[in-house]
Amino acid sequence: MLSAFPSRLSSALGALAAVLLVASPLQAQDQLRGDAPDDWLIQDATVLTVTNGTIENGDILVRDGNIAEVGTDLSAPSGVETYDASGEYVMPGIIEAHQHMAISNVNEATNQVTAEVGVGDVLNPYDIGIYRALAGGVTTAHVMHGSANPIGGRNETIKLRYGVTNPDRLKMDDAPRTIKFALGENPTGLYGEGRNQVPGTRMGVEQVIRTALTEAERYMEAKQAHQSGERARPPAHSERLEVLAGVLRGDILVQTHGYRADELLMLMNVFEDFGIQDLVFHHVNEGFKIAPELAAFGDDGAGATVFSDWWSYKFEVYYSTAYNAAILAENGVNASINTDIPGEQRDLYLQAAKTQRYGDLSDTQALELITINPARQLGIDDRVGSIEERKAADLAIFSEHPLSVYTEPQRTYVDGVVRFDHEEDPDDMRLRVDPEGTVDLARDGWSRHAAHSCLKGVAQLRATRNGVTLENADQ
Amino acid sequence: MTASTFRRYGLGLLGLVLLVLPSRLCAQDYEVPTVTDTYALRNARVVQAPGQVLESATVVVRDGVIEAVEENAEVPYDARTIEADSLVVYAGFIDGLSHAGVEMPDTEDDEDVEDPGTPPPDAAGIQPDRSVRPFLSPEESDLRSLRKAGFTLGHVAPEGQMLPGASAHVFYGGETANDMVLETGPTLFAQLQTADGYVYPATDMAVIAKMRQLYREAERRQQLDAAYERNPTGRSQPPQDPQHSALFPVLNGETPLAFYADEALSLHRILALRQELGFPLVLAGLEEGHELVGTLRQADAPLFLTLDLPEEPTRTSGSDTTVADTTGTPSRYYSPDLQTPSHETVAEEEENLELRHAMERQTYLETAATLHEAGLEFGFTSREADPGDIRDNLRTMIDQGLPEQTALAALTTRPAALLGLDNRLGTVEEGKIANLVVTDGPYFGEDASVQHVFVDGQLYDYGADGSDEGEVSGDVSAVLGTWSYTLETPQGDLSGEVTIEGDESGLDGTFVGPQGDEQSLQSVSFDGTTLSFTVNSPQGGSVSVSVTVEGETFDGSASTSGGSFPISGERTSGPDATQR
Repeated sequence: MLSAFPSRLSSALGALAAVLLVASPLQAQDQLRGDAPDDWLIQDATVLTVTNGTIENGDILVRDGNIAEVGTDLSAPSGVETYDASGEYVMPGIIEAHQHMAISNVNEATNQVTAEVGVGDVLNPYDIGIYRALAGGVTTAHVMHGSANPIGGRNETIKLRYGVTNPDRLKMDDAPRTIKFALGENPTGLYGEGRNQVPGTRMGVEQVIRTALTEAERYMEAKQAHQSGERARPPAHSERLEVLAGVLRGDILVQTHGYRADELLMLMNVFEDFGIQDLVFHHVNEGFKIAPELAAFGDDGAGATVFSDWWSYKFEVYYSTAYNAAILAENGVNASINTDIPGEQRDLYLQAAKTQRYGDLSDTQALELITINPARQLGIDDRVGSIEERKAADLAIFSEHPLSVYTEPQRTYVDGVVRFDHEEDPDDMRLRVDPEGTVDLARDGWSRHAAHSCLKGVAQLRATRNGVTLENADQ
Repeated sequence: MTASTFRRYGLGLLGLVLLVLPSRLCAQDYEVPTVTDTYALRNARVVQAPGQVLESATVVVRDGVIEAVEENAEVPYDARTIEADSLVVYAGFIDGLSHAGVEMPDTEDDEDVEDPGTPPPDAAGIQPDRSVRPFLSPEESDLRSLRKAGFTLGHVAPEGQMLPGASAHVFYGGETANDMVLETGPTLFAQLQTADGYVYPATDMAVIAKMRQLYREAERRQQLDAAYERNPTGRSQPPQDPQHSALFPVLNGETPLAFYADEALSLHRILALRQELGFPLVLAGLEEGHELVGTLRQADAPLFLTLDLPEEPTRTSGSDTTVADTTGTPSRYYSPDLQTPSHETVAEEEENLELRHAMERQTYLETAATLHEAGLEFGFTSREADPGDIRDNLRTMIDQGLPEQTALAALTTRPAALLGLDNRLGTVEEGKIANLVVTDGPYFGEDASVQHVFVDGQLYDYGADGSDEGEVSGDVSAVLGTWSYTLETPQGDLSGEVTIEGDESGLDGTFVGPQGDEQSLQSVSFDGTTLSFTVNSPQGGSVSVSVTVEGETFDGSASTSGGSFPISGERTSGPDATQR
């Protein structure tokens, strides 16, 4: 398989690299940076299409990074690499609906409304977390602003093209824009308790959101009045209100952090008042209480993306159940499972499998939670989320059924390019190292406190014998 | 007295007066002819421009301008002559971006911002209406060190956060801030730099969003202004504030935003923002420019590469601290395919990672060569570099493949062109501003050192090895000992003592002012008859004394670059005096 990757000498490495090339080809990094092939024939796999059943001894033909054909006994056109997947399982690349990896900033926690900022402006393609996600079959991630503000910044839907270094090349073309809203204890804790500002309560959160959306309505009206000649001058330009106007028009999908049933219902009421149809709730630990209401929201229902079994890290998430995803799914809510915290993005297939233990979901239902359902939540289901012709060749190959605890990811394709290969997985997959920094050893481990989280730069959770506390980082 | 004569005479004199007079007499100006503003560097090797060398030519400098550069150029009668047959003359180096000569006022750290989400412009770091001009000081220490390394002019920006203000083209010399300014406002300085403290913008993404906001609103205001100007009657005045108005020249394409950024990610972000908004751009820093050569090529912006290089990493493994071997031929090579089977074999992994580290560092050392090979023309920026490391770093870049002529061009002709100053600076040619670096060998050679630097025609002397030692020849016993001196000034005579010590290998000494204050002598030279030395005033500026010794007396002048006074003296103790 190694020969499939051209070993390309990066001119930047100069003379030293020339020596190194002789000593030991730079294949691992170069397969990522170089023009790796995106034409493949994957043969004799158990193909889990998610949307069109399972194909035994199935083949997938990939041309120019897209799925050209799915069937059996396909033959490889000339110039197309083949991969023998006999005994292995192919599923659509996993879609992570809520992550904070691969971005340099998480929260602009200085203002209650920061719709104008976007993590898409600060993507970090060097983050090794991207590779770790690939090693768990993830091919697309919705990387998000944090939950410090009632209205946070824009999120970005990225393809895990680990190896590219231009941040723009991570972006998924034509993915709808999305924005982060946040309810409950994070904004009230930060602004109310922390700074004695609005919002100090859940009522205040609602008011901040209503006020901001009302301002955006007025902004749109003023612009409209100017265009129709009723108003001499356009209103003062506002990056913030431009984005919120996009929310009101339905161009920007709202992704809302929230746990408690009452505040989820509150936001649905607010959105009905403003005519906003696109709403996905994140975390939604009490979603099981209001699943029918979520399903009945707007034209298509409100989506819910949840943890498999994680709760009790603060007061508002005590009332929780591992049956949440299954209850939501069985009640017609478009549900997905996410991991949120960088470092946890590696085993979404196991998180999905938990819904079979807690809720008896079928294989397809469980796989939907990490493929087509998050794709629908992000408005990208026309391109990814299932194995269908003309969709992107985002594929995850596993040694066993991906919902088996014995499974091991074997290969991950993004747009037809192999971005992870179990057979070619050296210890050092970093794209660069700090020339003045220290050598980090794998044994040094990963620290949750050092990692990004939903409240990065703002607060952190501390679990002690006496309970769980939320501490502001700036105190 | 006109402003220019004030500059030329008055302030130079002030320096002298500051040195020798009590401070109450300082604040007066005198119209006194200078000793000379004319210099001749005789029979020097003149590198007029990279690759364009006159093996033996005389460079004549008059009133801040290069008057002649040619073989056997006539040395004017009033010139101070420097015998330069063992010296090399280069065009003064140009610094693509720095804060040299800038002394920002201390800001109060704990100033509470009432609403951190919507702070006033200053607290947010939005100060494009500010200029670097009021913050300039010729005594700032980086400016002095950079001058000693050969830098004579820089594109100098105020310090701050996202939009710290307008830059200036600044001479790295002069007696006063006024002397320093060639022109103000060539660019607006910008950085992806958050506000201090928990204040918006507190993240890079908010800085970027705020840049968009300012730019788009400035566009709107400019249009409103234009409409109002066409027909103001019956209309309310358009909104205005200094921050948005300061951006109008950027919108018009007249003034570039000059961004400083070293990290590849920041560079990508700046280029993406520029693509979106379309402002003219100057880009400085580029330490990780090797990561985005293609993108930089498309960007088509003036580039200034940092003169800083990564430090040798110090490794701590367990209790041992080792420095990675990045020099010479490594005995082992990084293996990108290494897979260690268990924690037991971590030593092998560790060694491999250190090799990776060394390899990565190498990439940074080669950045200049990489940019050059990609066809990118760049100047240099000293902003992040320790001035004392600059020549070593340049040598490293050359060792790693940057052609010497390209390095010289990046210090002279290219920054002159990139900054739009090539009609006045960047080469040693008749008519150019007299910014010169004079060395005793090729600048990039190990052994050479800067001997003289001319900034706007003003001479700064540096001795061998960059120290302040003068040249000594002849019988030094003729000057050793203590001399009383008398300085004739329009205020009356002043007197004090000078002590000369040392031997043929070098002289030094002390200068005692009329108030009894002592200063040590710099650059003490003696050739058997002429004794010269420099005294730095504690208030700034320096005085050059040059006298002819005849037996137990001397006679000559004490001058600054601007003013000059007769000085005479008599030996009161010394080898000869003792013998008597």
